[in-house]
Amino acid sequence: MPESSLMLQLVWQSALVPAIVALALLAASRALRLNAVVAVAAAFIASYFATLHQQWSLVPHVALDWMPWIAVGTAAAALGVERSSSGAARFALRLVVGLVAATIVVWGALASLGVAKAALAVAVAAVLIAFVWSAFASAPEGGARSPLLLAVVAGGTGLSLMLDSSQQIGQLSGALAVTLGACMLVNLPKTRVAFPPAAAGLAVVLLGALILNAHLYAGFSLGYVALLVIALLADSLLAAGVRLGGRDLKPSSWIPAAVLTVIPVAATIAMVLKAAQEHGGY
Amino acid sequence: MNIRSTVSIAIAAAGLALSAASFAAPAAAPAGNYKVDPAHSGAFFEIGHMGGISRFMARFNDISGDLVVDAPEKSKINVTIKTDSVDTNHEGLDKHLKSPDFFNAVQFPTLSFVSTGVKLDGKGEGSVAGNLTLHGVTKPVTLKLRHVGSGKGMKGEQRVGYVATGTIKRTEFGMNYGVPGAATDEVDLRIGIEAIKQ
Repeated sequence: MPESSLMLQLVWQSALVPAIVALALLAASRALRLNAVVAVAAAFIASYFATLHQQWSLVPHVALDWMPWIAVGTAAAALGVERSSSGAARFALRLVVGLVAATIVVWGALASLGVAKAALAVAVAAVLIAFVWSAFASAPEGGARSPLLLAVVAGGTGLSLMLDSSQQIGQLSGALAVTLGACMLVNLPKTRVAFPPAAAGLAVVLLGALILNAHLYAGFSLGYVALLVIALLADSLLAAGVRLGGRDLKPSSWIPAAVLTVIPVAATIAMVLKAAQEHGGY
Repeated sequence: MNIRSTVSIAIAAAGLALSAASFAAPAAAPAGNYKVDPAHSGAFFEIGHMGGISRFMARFNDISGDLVVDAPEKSKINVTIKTDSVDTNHEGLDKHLKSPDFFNAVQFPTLSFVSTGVKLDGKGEGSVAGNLTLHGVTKPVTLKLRHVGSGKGMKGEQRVGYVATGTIKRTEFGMNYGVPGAATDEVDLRIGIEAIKQ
């Protein structure tokens, strides 16, 4: 008998669960003195278990089993990293967090990839994570701007993965997008719950780990990965351009930043759709 | 008796002999060590799509292994299949099946079956018990086994053929995603093996 509830299940696991958990924790953040990083981690983990509880193993068996551990570990580490007063030290620590997360993800593919390719994958992923995290950490203040931009990329990644390679990883990316969307919503029209660099760092590490998972284990092409990285760096590229013109980027500049972010994300989705049609519309 | 009637009787006798042979037990395979012939062997699976709207079949193109053919209690079957060789005749579906949603071919590049006990009756039918390793999980399974036949190949080499069939639950091997909405839990297996005596 056909399973008619598949779509409802997907909406529940990847949209409603993370939205409810994130909004509840963000609403209680002042009373409980919670950092937004807690809401991001908790909403992502809640969606993870709503989706993959049947196969999750306390002692990780597959690379995706590590994702809740990566979320918890990165949340704690990110809070510590962002307390460092030195910019160079913060970048170095972000690199270390990226190295640890990437190594965990790549570990399961070590036998298939070989040591050299695995080490290269870890190094490239860690450097990209550190750069993107630093870019969002130095973005202008404004509670809605960073989560909006990150949500656009995470949502585009989720949709692309659902169409292209892995529905599990796509669902988790979608859940991250919904979580970030909740962080954005509570800060419209004015900032109520700050979205600090630690929260942006956690979102970047989670998204980086998911994209790395998709590339290594599900054949998500490097071209798509490159476009998504460009999307993640679009805001900082815009800021650099504005600074070259002798001005500062204001929080109100989120519209051009969002447009610049949407372009490579939309290009990724369009390319994935085209490839899917060429493969017979799967 | 004229020539025409003699020929008719001869043809009828030959037909009877052939039809009798087709119902008889296959000739016993000479004992020895055999290697799986990948050109004439194949592993197939059939699974229900979207909770059972339809059933589709796929195959693995890369199969290898060894057989020890002897008395059933001394016989052994060891088969290894590369998960990356899954073939549904659809590029997009192949990619999805290789992903972590299903076989996770990068992390678990092979699946294997190692027999622990073979039973075959005089008609060449029986079962093979063994350990199936799939998705990094090893579980005991028992498959129906049929000795199809044996004989000489084009180069005079000794060949033997078997078919093993059975049903497993993919969740028992940690392949939980999309049960049953995307694909059913039960998966029918059919492994056809032709092996060459070494």
